[in-house]
Amino acid sequence: MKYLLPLLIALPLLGAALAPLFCRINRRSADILILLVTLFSAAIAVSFYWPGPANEAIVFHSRITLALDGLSRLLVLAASGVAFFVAVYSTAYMEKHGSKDLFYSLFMLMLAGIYGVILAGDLMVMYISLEVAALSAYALVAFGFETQKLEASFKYFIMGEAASALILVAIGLVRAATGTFDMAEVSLRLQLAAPYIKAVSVGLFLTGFGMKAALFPFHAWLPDAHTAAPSPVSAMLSGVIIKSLGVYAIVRIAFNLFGFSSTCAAIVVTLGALTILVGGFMGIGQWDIKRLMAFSSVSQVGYIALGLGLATPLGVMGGLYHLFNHAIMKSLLFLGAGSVEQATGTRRMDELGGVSGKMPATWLSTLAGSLAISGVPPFNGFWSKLFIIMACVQTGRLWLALVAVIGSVLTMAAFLKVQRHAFMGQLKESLSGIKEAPLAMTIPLLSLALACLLIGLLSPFVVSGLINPAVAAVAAGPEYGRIMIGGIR
Amino acid sequence: MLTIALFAIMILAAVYAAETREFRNSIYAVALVGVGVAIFQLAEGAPVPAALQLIAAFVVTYAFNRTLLPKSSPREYAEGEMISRLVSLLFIVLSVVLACGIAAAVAPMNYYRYLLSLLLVLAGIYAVAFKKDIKKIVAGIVIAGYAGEALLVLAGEKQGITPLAGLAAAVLLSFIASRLIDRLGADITKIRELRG
Repeated sequence: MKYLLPLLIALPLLGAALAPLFCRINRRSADILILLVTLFSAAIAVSFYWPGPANEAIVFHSRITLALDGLSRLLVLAASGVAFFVAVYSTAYMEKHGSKDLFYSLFMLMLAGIYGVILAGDLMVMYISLEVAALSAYALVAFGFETQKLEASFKYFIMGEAASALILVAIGLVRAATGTFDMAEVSLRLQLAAPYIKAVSVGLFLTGFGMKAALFPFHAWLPDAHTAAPSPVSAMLSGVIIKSLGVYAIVRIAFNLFGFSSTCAAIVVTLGALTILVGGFMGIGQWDIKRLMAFSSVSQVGYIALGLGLATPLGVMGGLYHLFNHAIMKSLLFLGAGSVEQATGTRRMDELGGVSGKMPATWLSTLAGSLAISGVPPFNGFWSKLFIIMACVQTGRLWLALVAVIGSVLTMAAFLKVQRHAFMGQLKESLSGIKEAPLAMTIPLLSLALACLLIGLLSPFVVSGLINPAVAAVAAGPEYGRIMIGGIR
Repeated sequence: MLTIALFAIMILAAVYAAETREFRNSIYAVALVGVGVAIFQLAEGAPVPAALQLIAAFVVTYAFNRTLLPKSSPREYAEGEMISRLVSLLFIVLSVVLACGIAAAVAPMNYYRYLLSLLLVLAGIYAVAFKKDIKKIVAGIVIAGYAGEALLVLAGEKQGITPLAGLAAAVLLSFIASRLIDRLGADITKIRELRG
């Protein structure tokens, strides 16, 4: 089983190397290659849940250290599932965008980096993987080299690299204090480190990863980058990148390496609450569908941070459940927006209208995504938001519960705006010739919409099978070190 | 003492890279920081990162010369500006020397070297935060990355390959920046098609 960990990273790396060669032979063969790589990756992610218990620790230790526990299992599952559907969608979507070979290579590199960050059992592996994923993401945002894309990519690049510099400094301080990069050892030795070193390095980590997660006030790059990128990239950025490179890294480092202090919790909760409101209010005023969705991503990351920052079992469960749900909901919504843009040639809602009749599959799936993200039962978003709100009430902080409710109302208003202006109403004359997106684009949409519904309906099973093992990994705190050292090697 | 002198030179070079009018000088200043970090890494007994760092500094200088230098405008000084710039430079030199001295005096044991690395990171971030010229911002990011490499070696990472990640980032960034300058010019305050 432990050899599956490096295989998960090696597969997309191999895909990145082979994609241009396959594209030269035949574009279809490159499509098949990418689908196979993402399908195998998803199969490996599912296999991590069998046959052993889902919170079993598995460590691969060679020149690099990779580690798997309940939290990384959940993230790998979300990332690989979204990546597979995005890959299917891209086979048709990228036909009109050219340079498919370059796109596939960068996409695969980004995926390898994401898996590297999630599976890292060593801070240097985490940093290098972070850089690989981030560099690929900057290039993918600039893909096509139109002015807006270049501008968005440059802003993302500057914020991302400033964040990386802070993270590198923090890693250096941790190495100086503990004498190792191995995260299991670090979590044990940090307990003996001087408090001021811990405070400085956790502050640098929180700032660096907070910038990557687009937490307020570091969120400015996200709406630009997610809007300008091709839709499959937006889906990956919003669904996976900000979570694995930002939120996951914060959780792993703040909870499992340093032990989540009350100061840290207060900072994360406050930033989370502010992020919900800023993202919600900014989103509602947008007329560009993708930009609205990007601000909604900012808001939803706020929910995740709020749940995690509460640091109670229910709060952490709500936060991680919402992280998993948001990966599915937001990739669905961005892919839906991509289908609409490709069919109509615009993303502006005031230029759209009545699209639902011409694109029923896209409309239905986007409607499911909108209901899910707004927290309407029985979709998945309802449960995770409910858990977060309940956790706020449980800790006696009713104002946080109120913020979460207001955020949900704002989200619903924003997505009702999308439904009303883009999909409902009279079909504009200029749009009379549009057609439903090709099958390769609608199948991922319908599948993700179905996932939103099923994860909501089967919530008790999802919580016990997927979320609770991740909560246990987070709740272990600095015991992470002992668990990993005692894990299967 | 030599470490303090080396870092003082690098921090000054970093500030100079941000402040100088001519981008050619910025490129040389960034290269100087890169080579300084490589020397520091070698002195700390880390030949592999030092060699990689040296290669990175060379390639980044080449990339900047090819992509960003052609986008810079010729030097133009207004009357009397030279004197105020010299006064500013003198002020900066004194500040850096003072900061390095305080760092060495107040930090326990060998931690003053970490503080010096942090100062170098901040000198890089200074250009990112306060300069309007995209080329200077790129230079600042590269310098902050170099400082991070120095800190890693200081922390005991003697076999690292992180300079390669920094190199890839610098080359890609200079490429994107040069394309952006072609379309919208080098003033970051005028690049406002997207509003964050």
